[in-house]
Amino acid sequence: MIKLSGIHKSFGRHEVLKGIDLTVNKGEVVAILGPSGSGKTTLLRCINYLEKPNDGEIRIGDFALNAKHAGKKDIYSLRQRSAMVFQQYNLFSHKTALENVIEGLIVVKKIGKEEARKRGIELLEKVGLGAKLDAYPSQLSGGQQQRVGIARALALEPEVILFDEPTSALDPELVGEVLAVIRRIAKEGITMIIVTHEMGFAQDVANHVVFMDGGVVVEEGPPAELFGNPQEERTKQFLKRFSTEPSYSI
Amino acid sequence: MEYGFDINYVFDFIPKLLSTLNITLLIVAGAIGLGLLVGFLVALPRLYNVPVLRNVSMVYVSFFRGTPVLIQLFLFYYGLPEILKLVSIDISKLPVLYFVILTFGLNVGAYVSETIRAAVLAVNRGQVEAAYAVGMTGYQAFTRIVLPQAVGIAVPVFTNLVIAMLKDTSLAFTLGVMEMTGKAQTLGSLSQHFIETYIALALIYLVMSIVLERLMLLAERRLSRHLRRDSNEKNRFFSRKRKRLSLGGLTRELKEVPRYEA
Repeated sequence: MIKLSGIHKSFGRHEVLKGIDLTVNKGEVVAILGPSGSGKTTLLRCINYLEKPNDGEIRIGDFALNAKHAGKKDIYSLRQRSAMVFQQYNLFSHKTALENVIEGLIVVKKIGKEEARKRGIELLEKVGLGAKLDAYPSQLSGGQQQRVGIARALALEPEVILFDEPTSALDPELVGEVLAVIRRIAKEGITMIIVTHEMGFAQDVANHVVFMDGGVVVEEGPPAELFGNPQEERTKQFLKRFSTEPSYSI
Repeated sequence: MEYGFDINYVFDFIPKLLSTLNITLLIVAGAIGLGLLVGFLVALPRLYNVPVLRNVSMVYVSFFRGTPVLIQLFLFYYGLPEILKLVSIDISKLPVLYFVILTFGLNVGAYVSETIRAAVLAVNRGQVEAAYAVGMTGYQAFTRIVLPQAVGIAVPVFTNLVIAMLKDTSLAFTLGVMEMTGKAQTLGSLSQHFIETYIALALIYLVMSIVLERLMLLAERRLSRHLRRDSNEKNRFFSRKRKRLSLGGLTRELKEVPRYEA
């Protein structure tokens, strides 16, 4: 279970997160929606401390970390309990697809090279890249790179995988293949938090949807409720753009 | 026509000059070795923004980049023993070669530190975040992700440094070191065939520069192979090796230096 309580984050004098509370149960897929600048990506990055929150508590499983007194060791322990898939993939560009996937296993989890390789190959086959084991990121398409990114996250067997707009940088034609992979692993019961702009996907895959705006959680609930019958005015306004036909025609 | 131009002197002088090649190479190797070590240490405080050390490294870099290397040689050779005398350490008996290598090493270090700094900053910040997200410590992320890529980026600049260093060794003769230029000076005075001596000397420097350049190019290809799109680079690599060294081949190779594509 993941539990965030009272997460505050400011960049200079600009307060991006104004006290976020969020609970994610084991095996749940949570989608975070919201307009640009609502703080959803910052919130996600606070969960694995890529962004240092000014205040609040982060709990992943049996490990809790208070932002007020977090040492280096605590931060490393927290990060080992999660994995992240980035908008810009962020693969290690001097390493092959397979090396990207097993790097964390070898360096962080200290697993033997042979065993790590075996697991890496399995995972790359799972995301449909069994033929690209030795390709460098520069030789892969965006969709393929992102699937390597997902395999890299899965390899660590984290308690939660954080997805930061995993399809936003992709060619529309390549979005499908990445979403299909995410959908498949969601079915396996891996806990996931996904920041996304793909409304249809969120509605389809998530068990729980969170709508954020202006650094606070405006509304949350099961997708059927949030999309079908939003309570807050701001949510309605945001969702209207996706549910109705555009007012212009081409 | 006793002192007229005679091409035979050129061929005659080349082996004589080559007899001092080891001194020249010793200076290059010593200075580059010392420079890499110093440069790396000096780059760190600026990369990690360490308060006081950062300023020290900035002063160091601006001194060695902002003054002629010839003056630096004089300052270290004549000045350092005087300063150390104040704390009663006598180094005036130390061979000149030590001073030369120390000065060149510190000089190269200044350039190396800037090269390393630029190369490290050129590595995509997102990859560092990815390394952290995987659970790596700062040290692991630096040594496993940043450094290998930074080295690849730095190699072309580093090639320039090594070749410049090779040529700068010729300044060591001003302190009386018998490296190649010093030897040429002596040969010229003895034979009064200065032009032939300098032609022979220039040829040796040129050939050595070309050899160094090609060696570094091999290193560059190896270190940046992940940036190339075609995967059968190994075959091309060996087929090129068999070709004879030619200027055409050289320029063709330079054109094929990695393409930086997104």
